[in-house]
Amino acid sequence: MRLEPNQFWTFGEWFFIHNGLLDAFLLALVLIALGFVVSYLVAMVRYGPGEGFYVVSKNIRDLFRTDLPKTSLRRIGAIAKLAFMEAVRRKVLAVVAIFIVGLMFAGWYLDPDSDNPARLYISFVLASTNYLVLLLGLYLSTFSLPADIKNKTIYTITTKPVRATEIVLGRIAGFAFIGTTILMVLGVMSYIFVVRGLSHSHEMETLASIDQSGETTLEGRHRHRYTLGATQTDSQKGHYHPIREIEVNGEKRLEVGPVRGALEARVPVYGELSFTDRDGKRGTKDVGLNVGYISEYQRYVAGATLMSAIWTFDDVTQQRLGDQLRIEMTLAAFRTVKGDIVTPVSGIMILRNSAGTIESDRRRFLVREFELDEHIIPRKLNGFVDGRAQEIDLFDDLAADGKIEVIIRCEDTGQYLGMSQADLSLRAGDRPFIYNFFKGYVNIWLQMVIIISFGVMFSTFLSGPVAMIATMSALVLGFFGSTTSIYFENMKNSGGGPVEAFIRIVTQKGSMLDFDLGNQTLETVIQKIDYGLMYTVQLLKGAVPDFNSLGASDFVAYGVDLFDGLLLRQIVITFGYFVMTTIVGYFFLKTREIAA
Amino acid sequence: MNNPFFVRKLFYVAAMALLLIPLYLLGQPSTRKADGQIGGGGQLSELRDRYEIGQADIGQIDPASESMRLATLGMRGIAAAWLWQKAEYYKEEKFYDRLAATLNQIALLQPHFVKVWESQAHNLAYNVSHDFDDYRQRYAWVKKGIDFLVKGTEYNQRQPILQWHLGKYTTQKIGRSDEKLQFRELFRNDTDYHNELIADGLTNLPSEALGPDRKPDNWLVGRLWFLKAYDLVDAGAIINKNEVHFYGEAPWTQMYFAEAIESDGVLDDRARFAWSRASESWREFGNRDILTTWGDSVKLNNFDRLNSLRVESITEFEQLTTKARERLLQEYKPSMNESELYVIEKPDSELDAEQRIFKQTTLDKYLSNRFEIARMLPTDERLKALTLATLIRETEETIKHTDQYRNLCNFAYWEMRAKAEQSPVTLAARRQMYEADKLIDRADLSAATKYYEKAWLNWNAVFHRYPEMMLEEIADEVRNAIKRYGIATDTEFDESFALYEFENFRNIRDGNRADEMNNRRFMQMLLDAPQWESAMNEPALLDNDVIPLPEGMDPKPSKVTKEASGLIPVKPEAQPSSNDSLTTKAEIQSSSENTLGDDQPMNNLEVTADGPATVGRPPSLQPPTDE
Repeated sequence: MRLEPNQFWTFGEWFFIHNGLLDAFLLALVLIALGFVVSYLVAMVRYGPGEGFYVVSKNIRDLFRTDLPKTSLRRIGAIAKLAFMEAVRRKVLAVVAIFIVGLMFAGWYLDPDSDNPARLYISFVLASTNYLVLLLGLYLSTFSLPADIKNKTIYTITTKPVRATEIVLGRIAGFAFIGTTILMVLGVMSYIFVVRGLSHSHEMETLASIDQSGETTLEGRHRHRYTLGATQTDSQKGHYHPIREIEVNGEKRLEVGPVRGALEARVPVYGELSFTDRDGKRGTKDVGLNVGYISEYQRYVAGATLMSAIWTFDDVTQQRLGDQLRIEMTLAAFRTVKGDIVTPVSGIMILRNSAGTIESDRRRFLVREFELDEHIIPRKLNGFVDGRAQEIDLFDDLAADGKIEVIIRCEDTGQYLGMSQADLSLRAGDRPFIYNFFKGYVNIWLQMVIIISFGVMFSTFLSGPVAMIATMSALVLGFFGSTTSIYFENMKNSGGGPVEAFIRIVTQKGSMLDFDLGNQTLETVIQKIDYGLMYTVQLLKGAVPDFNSLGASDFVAYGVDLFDGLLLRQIVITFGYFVMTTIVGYFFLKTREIAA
Repeated sequence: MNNPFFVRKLFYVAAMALLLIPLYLLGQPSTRKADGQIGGGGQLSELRDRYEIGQADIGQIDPASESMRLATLGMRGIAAAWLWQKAEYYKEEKFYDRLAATLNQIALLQPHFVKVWESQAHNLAYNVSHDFDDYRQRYAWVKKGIDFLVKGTEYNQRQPILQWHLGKYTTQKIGRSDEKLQFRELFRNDTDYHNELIADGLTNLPSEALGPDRKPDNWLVGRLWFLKAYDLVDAGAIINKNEVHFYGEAPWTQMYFAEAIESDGVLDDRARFAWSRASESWREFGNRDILTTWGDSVKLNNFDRLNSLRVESITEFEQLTTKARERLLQEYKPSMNESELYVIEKPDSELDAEQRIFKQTTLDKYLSNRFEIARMLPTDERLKALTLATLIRETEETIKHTDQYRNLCNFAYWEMRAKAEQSPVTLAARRQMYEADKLIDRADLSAATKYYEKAWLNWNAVFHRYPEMMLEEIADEVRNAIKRYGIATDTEFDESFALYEFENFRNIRDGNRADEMNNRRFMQMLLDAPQWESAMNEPALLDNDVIPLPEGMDPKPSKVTKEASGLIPVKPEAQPSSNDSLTTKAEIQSSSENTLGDDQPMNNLEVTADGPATVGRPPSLQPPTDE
């Protein structure tokens, strides 16, 4: 599974060291300032510059003096209930029907040849739920208030002693509640779909007398191999089956059990990754090699040299990891020569203490790409203490101070081993899959709340369709913001910004050709406009959440327990956006004087 | 009518009704008539029927594909472009399982866009598979590429290019990769996959694609895909491909299959049978009408017949026009230079070879226009001469086209190769070299040397009978074996080495040095080579035969004299009665005892405790004592 460096941070690291707090503060300032400016502009148009300023200032005063302190949960609840009922009346429950239809025909679109059906199924249900729920949130949140304002039904509320904060919060809460209800239904259905979809059984088919190994029947385009005496089959398509002995009519028989290993939530412990040069020396510039792939995610170490990848793990204790060390790897291999085709590229693994005085024997392994390669390190193992060979203890000697280093080198000349920080981890047990699945849905819920908050905020001052477009733009920016950064940086080389690109399309000029309109001034003006537009997009991008980083479907699909710290971080970010959008929404609503 | 809203509504309704008329005329669906024929319908429907591009005509209608296309609400292009970008990203970042899933979605969106199937199948089978370190995973991804193409054929049932690619992938990717040994083995034993292929339409797989071990062989399975593509084209489907390359694949595949089983160590009648089928297949290919880019059709097998026809027609024409030609020549004489006049006036017997060539050139120069000559004839002969001149011109044209297309596929070489490989000498040479290589790997130098030395003698015979083989891949294999032999026995290859001439020729040729003598020797060998048909059943020096040495020569274990190899003339008394001066003495000796025919199994010579039977052997060829 791919993990970005920031995903390894604990909540504390993110909040205090990596500017989570500062970012939130700055974001709050930006959003509030933006809200203030827009509110002022609206008020200015309506009342003139002086009066407008007075109105906005009064609103700020009201917020802190009356509206916020006197906000009533009961009234929020009442408005939320109304929003809920309104949503039900608008037949949003049809989403559930759409989802059921989607699940019914999912088999048409899911690749039956997938190497890991569990991953495919989980990704599918999480992604489809995510899109559906986000669209639902978008639809619900953006049309409700404008419709009320347009139909003047809002006056039936504003004539009551209801505050603007309560209207905004009530709407958000109401829509979030209906969204949550639907999300729960979808979650349960998804879980059943995944579990039932993956469920299958095999029979024993063959057993060779020579090596006492055999094959199961073909099921779901795969079959397993097993050896007599083994307790489980081999792993195919990301799962295995237990083999058990049963007695039928007094006769002993082997039976293949249900699917195992497909739905799991491993708890990995990640370390810090560093590299050495070819002589085994560690320097700040040593970040591994690029073997020519476009992707820089994995870095490589050269074979038959002392070049090493070193993972340093903290808190390596028996209490946390059990009696032995379960090292899980997903290394890549890169060959410059074909060499021995049959044998995979080999590497060695060394365990070392943090002081570098105690290390294990070199443990040779053959790389297994694109699958989880587990190595069990027993408690007692052969090694060296200050260069003398002797038996060492994993926890008492190697990790005496709670730290341990795992060193990986490539053994074969001319070949390379590739790795990223997430490609080697220690397994600290498992958590129930259903719990991880739940966390995945919590994650979707958080995204939904953000979208609803944005939708309600925009709907306080825009008409329904415009609010929807604005919210959708926020959503698109949130998903594809990182792509716009690339376009912004490479604007000159990739055919310019939106205006230039449009002109190029009309004049059928490829991005590689000179943007020659025959008028230098015109070209400069267009490019300046493009720069301004792209810069604005960049600024706006900073104001919306990065939905990609809020996603967690990979964790669930790849069977990795979603880090609690990461989930907490996402909750805090969501809360931050919720607060900001509520305040801005409040300002807008107050400025319109509907709820004054 | 005073209500403007009502008037506006009426106007809208009227406009809609008007717009419906052209829509109806254009889009009315076709209907089934009483006689069961489908026809009628709107303009679009008629066009679809006429060009057979309706969904049902192109391929299978898949509800998944249809619903996905509908779900994009007319933005299929945008969705497809986005998915392509995603696929590219997944490939770059090595998310291969997601790549495969995305490709499926692309294919559902653009099921009739053949290039999608072609390029993405290539992506899976070649680019992605290459990224895996474990050859079994690589094989699995090659299969994914093949499966992707198979799926493409279901959606596009009249696109033979997809079947052609299927043939290519199944043969070339599995049979020619660096890991071909492993891939072929995996393929042979992949029973579940064979069943899938049968279900996918290769119903004749169990009967027509089995290798020597009675398991499906990738080359033969690939051939079935090629044959399917041919069937489609024969049924009227169009393919934009050179016909030689298109139709040549199936017979080539048969040859590669024979090559492959020989590499696997199957060097007996099964290999011989495979080559005979390849030969037959090549002959059928030669009889097929091939459409040329000039617009005419040629049969590659007709080359010799056309040449004979040309020669006969020219002879007849020249006989008919002798006087006219002489008259014309006389007319041209004043304009000839001195050298031309000299050769023209002398009879051939008084000219040397160079002058004879010059004379022919001069005659061609002045008498090339046969129509001009024909027109000089009296009326009663003129028509016949003109007909002959036309026939010669057309035949020459066809010969030129045939020759070019033969060269495109190296027709003559493969024709010769398929025949040469059926020869017992070639089979014996291959088997001995194979056995020797295996023995070298086992470090049994003594036994390996014996095999090698017999192999050299047989190869020498092969190269003399089929000199073109000295230029081909098999010759490279022989040279590699010679290197191994040289290292193992520490032998320097002087003139006594059986393949000395071959080595010498290849050294000069590979060194890219023009050596007139060498080329002439090669050409001479070509001329002297016996006809294939008769050479095919020439006997070989078999495993149990003892390498013959001339009388008085000390037997040396690792060296073979040139005399023994038959490369230099032997004394008349030692020369056995044979018309073939190029056959080695070893073969002559062997042939005097046994003649291995087509049906005769190998290795069944009568062997005594002292070695092979020696009855009837000339005194000079008595076997040396077995070291």
